[in-house]
Amino acid sequence: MDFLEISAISAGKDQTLALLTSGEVLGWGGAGSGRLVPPFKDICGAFKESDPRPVYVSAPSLYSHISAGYGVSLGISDQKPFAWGFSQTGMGGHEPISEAPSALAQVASASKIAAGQCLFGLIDEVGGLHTWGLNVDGALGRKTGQINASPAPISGIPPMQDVFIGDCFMLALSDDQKVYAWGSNSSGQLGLGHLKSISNPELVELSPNIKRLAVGSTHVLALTEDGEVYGWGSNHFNQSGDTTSSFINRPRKIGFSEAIAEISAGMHYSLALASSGKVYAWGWNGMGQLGLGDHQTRSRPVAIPDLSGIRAIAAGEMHAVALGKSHLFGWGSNASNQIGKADLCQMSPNPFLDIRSRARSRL
Amino acid sequence: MTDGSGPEDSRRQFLGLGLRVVSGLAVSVAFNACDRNDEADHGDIPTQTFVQPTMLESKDGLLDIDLTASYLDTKLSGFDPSKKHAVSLRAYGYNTKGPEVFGPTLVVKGGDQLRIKLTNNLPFNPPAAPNDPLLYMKPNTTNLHTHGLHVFPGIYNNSKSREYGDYVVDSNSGGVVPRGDSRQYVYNLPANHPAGPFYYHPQFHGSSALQAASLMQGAILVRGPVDDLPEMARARELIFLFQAPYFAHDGFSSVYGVNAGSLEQFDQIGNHSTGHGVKNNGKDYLDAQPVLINGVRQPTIVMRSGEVQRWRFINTQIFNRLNLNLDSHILHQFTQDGWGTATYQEFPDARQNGGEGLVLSAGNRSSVIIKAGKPGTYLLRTLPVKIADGLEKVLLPGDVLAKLVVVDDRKFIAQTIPDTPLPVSDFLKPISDQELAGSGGRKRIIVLNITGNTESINLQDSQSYWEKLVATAGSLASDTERFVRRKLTQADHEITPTSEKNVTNATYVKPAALSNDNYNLQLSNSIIQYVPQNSVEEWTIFNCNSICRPFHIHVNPMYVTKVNGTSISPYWCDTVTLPGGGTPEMPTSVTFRMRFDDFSGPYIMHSQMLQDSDLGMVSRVSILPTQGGFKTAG
Ligand SMILES: [Cu+2]
Repeated sequence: MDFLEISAISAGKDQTLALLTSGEVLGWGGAGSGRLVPPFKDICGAFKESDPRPVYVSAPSLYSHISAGYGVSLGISDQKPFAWGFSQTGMGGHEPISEAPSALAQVASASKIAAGQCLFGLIDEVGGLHTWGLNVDGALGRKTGQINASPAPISGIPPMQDVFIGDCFMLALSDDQKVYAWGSNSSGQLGLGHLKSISNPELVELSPNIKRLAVGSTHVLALTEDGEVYGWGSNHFNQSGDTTSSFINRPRKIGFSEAIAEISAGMHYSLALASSGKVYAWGWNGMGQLGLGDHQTRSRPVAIPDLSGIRAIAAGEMHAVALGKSHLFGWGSNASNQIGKADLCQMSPNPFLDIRSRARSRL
Repeated sequence: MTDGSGPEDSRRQFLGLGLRVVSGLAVSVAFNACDRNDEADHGDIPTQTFVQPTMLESKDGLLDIDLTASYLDTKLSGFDPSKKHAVSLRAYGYNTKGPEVFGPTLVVKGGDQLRIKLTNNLPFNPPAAPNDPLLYMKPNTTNLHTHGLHVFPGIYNNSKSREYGDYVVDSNSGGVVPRGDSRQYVYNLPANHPAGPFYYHPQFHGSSALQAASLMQGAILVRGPVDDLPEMARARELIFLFQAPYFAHDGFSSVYGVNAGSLEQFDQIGNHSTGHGVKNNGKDYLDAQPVLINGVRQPTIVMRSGEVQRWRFINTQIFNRLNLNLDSHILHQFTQDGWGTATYQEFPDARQNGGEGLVLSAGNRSSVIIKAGKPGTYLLRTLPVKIADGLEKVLLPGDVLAKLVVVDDRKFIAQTIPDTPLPVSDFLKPISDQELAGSGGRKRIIVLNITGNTESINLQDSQSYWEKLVATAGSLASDTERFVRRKLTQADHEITPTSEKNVTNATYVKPAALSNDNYNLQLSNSIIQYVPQNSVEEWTIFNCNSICRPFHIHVNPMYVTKVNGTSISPYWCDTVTLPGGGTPEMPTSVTFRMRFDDFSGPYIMHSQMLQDSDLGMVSRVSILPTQGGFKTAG
């Protein structure tokens, strides 16, 4: 028996990526999925003509990491960063990219990579943090000669293990499990107790050791080593898990009845995967992205019924995917077919890829 | 004013208008003005040749009109006001009236319903040749856009017959098709809709430039408390539709393969050499299309010394800017676009002082109060103005737009300019950091880019900057489509898995690198901005090219806070000019905040240089109701 083995999933603005253990990448949806999107015959049309079937991102080699951003996706192949998708600005104003991955020659090595909205970051082999893209509100965390900057490292910060990107802001997790934040702070998403933009990384006051971060559009989740979750930033749909204010500018704990293993955040909504394999959702639900069968905002984490044995979750802008034992599930917006064959507004988890299916031989 | 109407007809129309304007107002100063104009017949006062469209006013909260699109055969001036050329251009008629050089002026108030039934009487679309940039364009398919109005953008589903809001996201197979198709538009203005000038024009994707660059435009005036101020009500109101219809000169028509006096090819609006243009006076100047005001080249306006008038400026041009300046007078601006301000921004005569007048890019409007000074003749001009900067500095030459003759009248009691603060709608309250923080606070980035143009265009070359840009752009539309078709076909034949493992129903698409040549303008379907209703957000628009590009967004106005990342004194507008001189490495930018309160539904943002928009510099905004779903209906 030949099974599809998926090692990682990533959800961006309009695309979903699945990384196979073979190193190949499958893509669904719009720009950044690896699919050539037809142009502008219809006025800035939704991708009505697009195909619910996945495509393979064409591979110069095989990938170890993926990150789906806004129209652009990034991958690491043989320790080298690659980009594909649709970018109006290119990388640093040069190298306009296409759905065929191209290497980012300016960076020698990469171990972690993150794609945002015209904003990108990666961690190199020795924990150096490199950023590039449009420097709005100090989002690149460093001085740049160009507004649309090419990759370069941020100096004067401790070695980092991972980087996370929201709307014109970034967070990084240091090797010693501390959180650093910089860039736009419109809803207090830097967690620094104010609303001012910061153009150099600053330490966020958060005493427990942090294992993972998840960044939505303007809110942040942090997962501790003990399986606890903190939230801060925009909270007008209670996406940061608090019910008292419309934004929170310092980390605040979110209550769960069990230990959490993984977190993910999209536009004004949040997901948490418990060690038990259950998935919790809360925040904005306009596209059904909470997977709870309706459009009601949830102010507290609610377990998604009939979804168990989940191994990984990924929240895109308005769609979510989860890796189960035998299926890839998707819910939320399907405007670009980013969750395969599903409703336009898929309100509950829908299995869109059977990973048990026996792989066919060559066509 | 249509073909053959002489000064007599113009004057009569103007007088009629004067009467209409004062109906319902307390003091009929305008009526006195008519008396004064009659004296012109006795030879001591020059004749006013300024004409303006008929005003249709709402009654009991409703204005309901029929609007028709058809060809108008008339005569228009080019650069030389004394010469007239036969033209055959697309234009609007209303109710039982045939087409005119302008649509009627629609006058409404906050809380009113404006109903426009648009009927398309244009002929069938011409067949598209394979290499024709019009391949995907349908020059005779149309629709209607109410530029700047804060109204519902979707399709209403609460009526038996389909009714449309400010709906412009028609598919290429949709729109209001030629030969008799019609569409009922319904615009419900919120009670607190700000008072100011707006306008309507077609926005059918692919054809908007061609149609708006003919004669398809008309003014919308939203009235409010500011208009009820006694001094304001007493000040006679003139509507200036600045139009620059493109039509081929006899000597140039063969270049485009069209008849003289017509506008049928996309290349024509991409090229200023129609043969009627304002000639450049230096190598860094662009030939400009001559500007008409309400169809008339350089009309004469007559005022009495001490008289106060309010002028509504509407730049309906699809590319060029205006840098308005009135000799020896101050323009007191009280709306920027259609958005009122509590105080006046003053624009004194700038000829001796930097030459920076009241700049209106394509799509911009302004309301000003002016008080006529000493008797004499003064010119309303557009001073030379930058239209591209940086690697290509390009100026539009100056031009005379109208003549103001101020006459002495000892019987006339001087009017006064209304005192400030002027009443402003609470709709225009500033957007604070706290409001942004508590309403999602999203920061979005929108990029306008013609990739490659700044490297490849050189003013010293034989072709002009614009010619080259358009040569590139002109071939783009068809090339892109052919390119994509070719690639898709190729993809179908190249389903060659490199993996042993194939996924059920998975296809292998081998995407090709996008070539610079084929993708010089961005794809319009790149990224749709989905915004939950009731959000407040801050967007930054980047301009990667030399051109001072006017960025326009429908439905919700912008509260501009930064230019090139630096804070400015904030203001409201719906069309904002991005600084020129941008490059992909160092793009210029404008940052603004928006509230997405009143409406959900799909609409667009685009370059108001409509040639760009038709070629793809346009993208969709979709406001999602918080209660769920992708609703276009209200
Ligand atoms: Cu508009």
